[in-house]
Amino acid sequence: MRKINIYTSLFLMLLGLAISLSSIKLSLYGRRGPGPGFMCFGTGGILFLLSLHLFLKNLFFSKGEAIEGEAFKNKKVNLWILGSLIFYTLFLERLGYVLDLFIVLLLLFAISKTMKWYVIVGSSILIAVGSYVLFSTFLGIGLPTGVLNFLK
Amino acid sequence: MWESLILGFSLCLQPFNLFLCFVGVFIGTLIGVLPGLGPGATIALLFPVTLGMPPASAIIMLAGIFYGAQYGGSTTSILVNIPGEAASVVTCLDGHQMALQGRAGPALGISALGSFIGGTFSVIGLMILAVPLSTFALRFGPPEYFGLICLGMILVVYLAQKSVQKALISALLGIFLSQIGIDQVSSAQRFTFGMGELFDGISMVPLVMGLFGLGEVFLSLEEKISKISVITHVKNLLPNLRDWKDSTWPVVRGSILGFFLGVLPGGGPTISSFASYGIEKRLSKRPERFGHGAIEGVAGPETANNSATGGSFIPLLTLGIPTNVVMALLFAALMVHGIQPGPLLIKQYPDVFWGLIASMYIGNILLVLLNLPLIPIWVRFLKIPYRILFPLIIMFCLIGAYSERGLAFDVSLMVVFGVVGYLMRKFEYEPAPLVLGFILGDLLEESLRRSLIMADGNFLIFFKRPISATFLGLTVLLLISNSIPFLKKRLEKLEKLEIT
Repeated sequence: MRKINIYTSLFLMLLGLAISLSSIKLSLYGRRGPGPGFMCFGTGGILFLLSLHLFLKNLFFSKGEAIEGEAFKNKKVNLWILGSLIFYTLFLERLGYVLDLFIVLLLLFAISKTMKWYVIVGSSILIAVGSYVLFSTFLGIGLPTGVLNFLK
Repeated sequence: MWESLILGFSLCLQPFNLFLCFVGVFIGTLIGVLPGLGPGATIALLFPVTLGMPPASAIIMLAGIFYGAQYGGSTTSILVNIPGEAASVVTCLDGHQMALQGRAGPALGISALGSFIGGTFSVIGLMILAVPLSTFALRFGPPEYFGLICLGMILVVYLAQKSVQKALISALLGIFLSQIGIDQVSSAQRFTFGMGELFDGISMVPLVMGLFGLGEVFLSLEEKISKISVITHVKNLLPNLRDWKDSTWPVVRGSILGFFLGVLPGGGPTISSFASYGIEKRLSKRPERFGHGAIEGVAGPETANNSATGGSFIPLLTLGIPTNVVMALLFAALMVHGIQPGPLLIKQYPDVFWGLIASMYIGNILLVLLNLPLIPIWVRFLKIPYRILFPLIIMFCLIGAYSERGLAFDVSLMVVFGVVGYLMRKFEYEPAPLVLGFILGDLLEESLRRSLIMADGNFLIFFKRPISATFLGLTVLLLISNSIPFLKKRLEKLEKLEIT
C-alpha cells in the first residue's frame, strides 16, 4: 500500500494545487464578502496539505511497511465491462436504449462462460425490452429510441 | 402529535403506499441477505423508479430499503457466516456459532424479534424528539449551520473504518465536486471547462450510482467467489424462556444505545452493532461464552443496528444534515422531489414526515412477518450466481444515471465515478465521506459565505455565537484528539533514537 499511497498522494497534491491556483482566478474576496473562488481555494489548499502529509509520511516514516501495492485482479473482466460501458455511452443516442442495452448485455453475459449462447441472446432481448417497457411506458422515464424510433 | 400520527397512518395505509412500504422492506431484506449489495447502492439503483411518485410514497419505499436491510443482514451472518450487511458483521461471531450448534432457529428468532423491538423503539424516539429538535433548530443561523456541518463532517471522518486522513481527503474531494457549476451568488462558472452539461453542477445520481453501484461491481468481480455452504436446517424459530431471560437486557440496552449512536453523525447501524457487542461482552458475567454461541451477542447488536436506523433520521429531518451515506441519498431524494430537509420540513410537509413515521411502524411489523416464515426463500436467493446479478445491477445504473436529466453525459459521468469508486476502494479511500462532502458542500459554502457577509468578513462571528462556537470547539477537539496517538508515536520513536 505504501507505493500506492505515494502515487495517489502525489496526484492529490497536484489536484489540490490546481484547484487552489484556478480558484484565485475566480476571485477570492469581493466587496460583498467571499467570492466564488473562496471556498474552492480553501478546499484545494487543505487537500494539498493533507496529501503532502500523506506523501511525506509514506516516503519517510513508513519504511517498515511493504512497498508493493495490492495487485489488480481479474483485470481482463473489468476492462471488458469498462469497454462495454464506454460503447454504451457513445452509442446511446444513436442506437437507442433498447438496441444499445441489448448489445451491452450480450457483452456482459458473455463473461459468464457457462451460459449457452441462445440463453444469453434470449435474456438480453427480454431484459432490454422489458426494462424499456417498465421504465419508459409505466414509469414515464424518457429513454432514447434511436434507430428504433419508427417502432414507436 | 396523535392527530398527526393518524394523518400519517391514513396516508401510509392507502393501498399504493402500503404496497410501496412492502416493496421497500422486501427489497431491503433481499439486499440485506445478499452479500455485496448494500442499502446505499440499492437506494441509488432504485432512485429512478421513485421519480414519478409523490414524495411521501418515494420516501416510504426508500426508507423501507434502509431498515429492511438491517433485518436481512443477520440471516446471512447466522446461516452462512458471511455478513449480508456491514452492520451484521458482528452477528457472525455468535450467530453462526449458534447455527453450528443446531440453534439457528433461536438465533434467527431473537435477531428478528430484537430488530422489531429496536426498530419500533427508535420510531417512537424519532416521533418524540423530532418535533422539539426542529423547533430548536429554527434558532440556527448561517454560523450555527456552518459549525454543525463542520462537526458532522469531522465526526463522519473520525469514525471512518480505515484511515482518518484518507477519509478527510475523500470528504474534501466531495466538497470540491459540489462546487463545480455556476456559482449561485456571482454567476461565475467554476471548473465547468465550458461544458454546458456542468453548468448546473454534477448530478447526485450518477455520482452515487458510479461510486456505489458500478464501483462495487468492479470490485466484486475481482473476487472469485467460492461456493458457499448454507445451513439450511432451521427449526424452533421462537426463542425459549432461557433465551429470553438472557436476551432481555441486551435488547433493552441495544435499543437505547443504537438509537443515540444513530443520531450521531458518522454513527448508524454498523457502529451501533459493534458498540452493543462490546458492551454486552463487558457486562456479561461469563464473557468467555462470547464468540462461542452466546445469544446476547446476537440479541444486542441486532437490536442496536435496527434502533440506529430511526435515530439516523433525526438529524436529516430536523436539521437537514445527513449523517451517513444512506441519509445523504434520502436527502437527495427529498431534494429531487422539491422538498428541502430541515427544521421546516415537519411543518411544511407533515404528510412526508408523519407518513414516514407511520410507514416505519408498519414496515417493522411487515419485516417480522417477512423474515421468519420466508427464511427458506432468502436462503435460495443466496445461491444466485453473481455473474447473473451483475449485468442487472449495471443496467439499473445505466438507466438511473440517464433518467434524472435525460443526458448521455450523465451516463459517462457515472462510468467515470464507477472507476473512481473502484480505485478508491482499492487504495483504501472510503467513498462514503466523499458523498457526504458532496451533499453538504453546497450548504457548507452557503453558510460560510452568508456568515461572513453578515459579519463584514469577520471570522470571529463563528466564535462569538455560543452554539456555533460549541460546534467548532468540538470539531477542533476531535481533530486534536485524532492527532495525539500519531504525535505520541513520533515522540516515542524520537526518544528511542536519542537513547540509542
